[in-house]
Amino acid sequence: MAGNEEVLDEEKQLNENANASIRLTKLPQTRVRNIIKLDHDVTLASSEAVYLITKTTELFVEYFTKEAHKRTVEYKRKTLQRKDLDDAIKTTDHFAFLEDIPLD
Amino acid sequence: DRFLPIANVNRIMKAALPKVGKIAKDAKECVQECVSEFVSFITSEASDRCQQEKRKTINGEDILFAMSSLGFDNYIEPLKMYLTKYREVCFNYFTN
Repeated sequence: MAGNEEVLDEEKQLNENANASIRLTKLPQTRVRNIIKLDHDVTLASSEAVYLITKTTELFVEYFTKEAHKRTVEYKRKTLQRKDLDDAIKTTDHFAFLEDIPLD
Repeated sequence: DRFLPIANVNRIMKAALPKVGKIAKDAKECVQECVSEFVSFITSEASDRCQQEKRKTINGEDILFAMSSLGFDNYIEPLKMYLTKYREVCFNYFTN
């Protein structure tokens, strides 16, 4: 019926507008959801869960970067280097899960 | 793709550092990879709890619980605030 088609189009437009104007996260939630799905023990993740994982990941980037930067400053450098991250991983409990993963 | 866009990761890194100063390319790539590991790390912990409680869907509470189990207690208050804000936004969107 013609009426139903109009409603569906309007709904689609609303969704697109919402996605464009509401940017709640600095990292794309859809990509985060893809990474979550790689875990075969996971059946479903609610949108709240995806949102929170995205936000906590943003906080983590900040934390990891700042910790690594302490080494940059300690060695009187201006450029944050890979070895600063490696050192932070070795010496900070919070980053222990990153030890032994093959990076590049 | 199992990585988050490096441009977004880089932006967050830059904002966390003083304006003077650069980030080496391999450092950006390293953080990009570590970030995917982090997502998997949290997901796995949250998923374990779900399985124990025989639930199929990971929810927001599971994430908060996972952060606590994994030693990221200091994130819980900020995450609760974000969750409140998120629910507000969703509510406004659906009622306007």
